[in-house]
Amino acid sequence: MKAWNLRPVLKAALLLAVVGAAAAAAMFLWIGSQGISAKAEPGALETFIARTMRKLAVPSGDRKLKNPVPVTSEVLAAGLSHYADHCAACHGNDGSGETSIGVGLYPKPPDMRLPPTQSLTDGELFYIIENGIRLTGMPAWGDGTPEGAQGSWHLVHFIRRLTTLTPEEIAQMEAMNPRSPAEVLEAEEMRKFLAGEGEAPKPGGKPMPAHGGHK
Amino acid sequence: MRKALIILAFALALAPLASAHEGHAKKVMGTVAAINGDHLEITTSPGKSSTIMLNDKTKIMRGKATHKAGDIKVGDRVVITAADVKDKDGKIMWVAKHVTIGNAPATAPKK
Repeated sequence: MKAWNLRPVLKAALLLAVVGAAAAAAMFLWIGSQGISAKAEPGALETFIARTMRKLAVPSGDRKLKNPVPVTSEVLAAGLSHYADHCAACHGNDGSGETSIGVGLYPKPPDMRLPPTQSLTDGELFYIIENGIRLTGMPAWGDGTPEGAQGSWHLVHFIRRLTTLTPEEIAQMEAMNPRSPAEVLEAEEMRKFLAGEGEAPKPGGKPMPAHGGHK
Repeated sequence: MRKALIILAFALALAPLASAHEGHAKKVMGTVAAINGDHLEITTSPGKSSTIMLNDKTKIMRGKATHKAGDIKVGDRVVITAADVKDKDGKIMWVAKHVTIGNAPATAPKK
């Protein structure tokens, strides 16, 4: 029986250790000079690992759960209302994640209309809503009550509906989104502006209160 | 040594590639001063303007109705939610995510 020649493997391991140490030193220096920003997008490998870990984080028994709440127009309306109030600030009314909070998170909320979310089972969606996802902006919403669980199942139904939301439903949700007093004032200011009230800004005229920069 | 280098190259090939992009958001409220292709020049306050780019993903609404970029006219009152994106030269561009057109009739801007 021929013995394995381990020398190439040992040399590779040694090389890997040296290159790894050099890379770690370079990364340390680079981070020190550049900083770490939550504006970045995770790379493909990090995304793959994170989604794999998210899948593993859901117990197999929970993953197989079917939504016990029959889907009705009332259930979807409850889900829409619940989502607009609790979820839309990060995920957006349309589920795109394109909100001022969402785009600033790392990782960013996924576009829930797309297959990586829509292909999750009812049980996986429910588990994520109830238990959150560690090291992300997704909190655990579950409070251990039957009413809370029922609300989460309503949300599971509504998440399936995100792919076919109408502009009218999105407008309905916008009216339900929680707003600070400043946002209420800003929305009213914009409504009046779009309705033609007040003078439109012109070069050389009176300054108007425009909102810019961070929302 | 060659085998060691092959194994090392394979290991390094698994390393993730760094990627990043910017993502500030801002809200622009003003009147359309000019339309240059897919760029809107918005007068936001006296003497101040903001250039916003439209793309295929830009949602354009008037009230509850969906519209197209061609429906935006010079003089329209608009509220735009835009995000900054760096182009290949590193220059920051503001790309509109949502454009809401006012119901008031367009008025030609006085210069």
